[in-house]
Amino acid sequence: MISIQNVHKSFGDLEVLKGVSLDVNDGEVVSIIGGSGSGKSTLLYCINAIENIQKGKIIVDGVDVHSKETNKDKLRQKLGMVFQQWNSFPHMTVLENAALAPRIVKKMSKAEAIEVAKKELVHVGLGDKFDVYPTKMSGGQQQRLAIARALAMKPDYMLFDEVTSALDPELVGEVLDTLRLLADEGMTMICVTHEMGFARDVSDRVAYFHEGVIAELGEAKQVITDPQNPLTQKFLSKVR
Amino acid sequence: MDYEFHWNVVFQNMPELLNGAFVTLHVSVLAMLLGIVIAILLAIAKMNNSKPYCYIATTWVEIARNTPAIFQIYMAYFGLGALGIHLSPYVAVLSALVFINAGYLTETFRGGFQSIPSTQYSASKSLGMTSIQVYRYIILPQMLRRIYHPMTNQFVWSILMSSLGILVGMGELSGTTQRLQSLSFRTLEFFMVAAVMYFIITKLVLISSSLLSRKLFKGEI
Amino acid sequence: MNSLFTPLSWSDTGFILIGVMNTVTISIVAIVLGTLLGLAVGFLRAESSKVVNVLLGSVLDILRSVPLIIQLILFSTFVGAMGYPLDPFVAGSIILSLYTMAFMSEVFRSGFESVHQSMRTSARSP
Repeated sequence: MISIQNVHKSFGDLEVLKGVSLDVNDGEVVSIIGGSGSGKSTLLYCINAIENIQKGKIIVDGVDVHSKETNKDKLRQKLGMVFQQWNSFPHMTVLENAALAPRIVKKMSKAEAIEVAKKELVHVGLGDKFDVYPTKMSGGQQQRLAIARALAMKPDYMLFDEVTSALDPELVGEVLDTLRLLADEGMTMICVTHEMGFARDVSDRVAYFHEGVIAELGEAKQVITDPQNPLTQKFLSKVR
Repeated sequence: MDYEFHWNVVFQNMPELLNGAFVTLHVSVLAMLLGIVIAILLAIAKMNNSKPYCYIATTWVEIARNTPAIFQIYMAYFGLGALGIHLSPYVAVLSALVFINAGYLTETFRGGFQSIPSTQYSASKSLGMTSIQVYRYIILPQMLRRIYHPMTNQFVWSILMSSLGILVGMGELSGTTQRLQSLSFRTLEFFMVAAVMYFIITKLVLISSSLLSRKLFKGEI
Repeated sequence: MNSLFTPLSWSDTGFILIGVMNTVTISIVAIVLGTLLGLAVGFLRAESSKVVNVLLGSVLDILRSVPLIIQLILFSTFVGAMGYPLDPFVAGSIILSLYTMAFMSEVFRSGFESVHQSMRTSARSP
């Protein structure tokens, strides 16, 4: 379980998160929507300890993420993360991309790591691309590679940071299908997204971020189709 | 044409010329290796926020890049000599080449490092890699690809510039050629052979460099 | 020990200034001539047959991979031996221009060749 408790985060004078609290249960899919600059991506970076926080706590499976005693590299193995920019490692083949972290972080044998990597690549539909270099692939394929690369670490949670917003429109579908597949398999996921249809259909709950706070949090269908907060209503009417 | 070519004396002195060529290669390799080490430090200093280090590095780079090599060599040999520090021609040329190589390579390294998006770092961190692993497996291999060709060019440049050793009586290929031709007065013959030898050396360096790069870098950037 | 070096004095300024002017002049000559020649050679290389290309390419290759100082010595000795000794300034200008040409021609060649594919096809179509 990921428990976010009254988190405050500032970049210099700019306060991006102004007291955010959210519990994500195992097996749950939570989508975070909101305008740009509302702090939604920052929250993911804080959960993964890429960014530190000024106040509050984030607890993952009973471990305080930002405590000094926490081994953050170890913790991140539990938290898979996929970014807006896919960040394939251009100097490695698709298979090497996916096998690297299991090999050097989890210290698997080469054969084991390759096996895990192959399994996850097939999982996301890249079974025919093992020896291809990522730069030869489309954005959608590279983004699926990024998902497989994260999955190869066998994370308990997956964080998705606007994974479709840098893609050409015709490539969005294949990546969303992959996310849908993961959700169906019971992966615990937090998705920052601009795809309202995806948020409504795939997630269990949706949080609407506005200026660093959660303005509305509720069951997915309700928040998207029948928002209660006027701010959410205004945002959704603009997005559609 | 009145000039008569006499090649015999050149062939008799071939061992000396080859020895000179070896010294040329020797000084260039050493200048490159030392230059790389210093350039790494200067590049780190230049990207550092601390003002004094950054200032020293910038001054070094600007002087090295904006003054001719011959000036550096004269400074190391005659300039320091006038101050009572007497360097041998070899050391003088070597230190001048190291100074210049370090200046140019600093910019190469800095550019290579900054051309790698910082998101590569955060993506690697998110997979649980330690910082050392990120550099070892992700950042440095990519950087090496980008700086490989500029570095090869810098090495070729070092070989060509070491020919200025002729001006301080160094025993590398040009200096040896100069000495031998002044004994025999076969200026054209000796320098033509020297030119051919320089050509062969640089070609060999370029060919082996591209063979090595094909072996090292399989992925595309 | 008597120093070989006499201290720099104000009377030297004139010589240094002449040197500066010579540097500037020879650089301008080399850049202008080298660029013009480079343009012509680059155009030739982009347009001509493979044989001509290889021949031109190897000459340029020599200019690029033999140290400048060797080229200068060879050239001035050569014209001297042929019976036409040249003023060092002229010999230097010629070699530096050729040297610049060797580098500029590559720039122009790749320029010409990058325009080729698309422009030529469209320019030729009626």
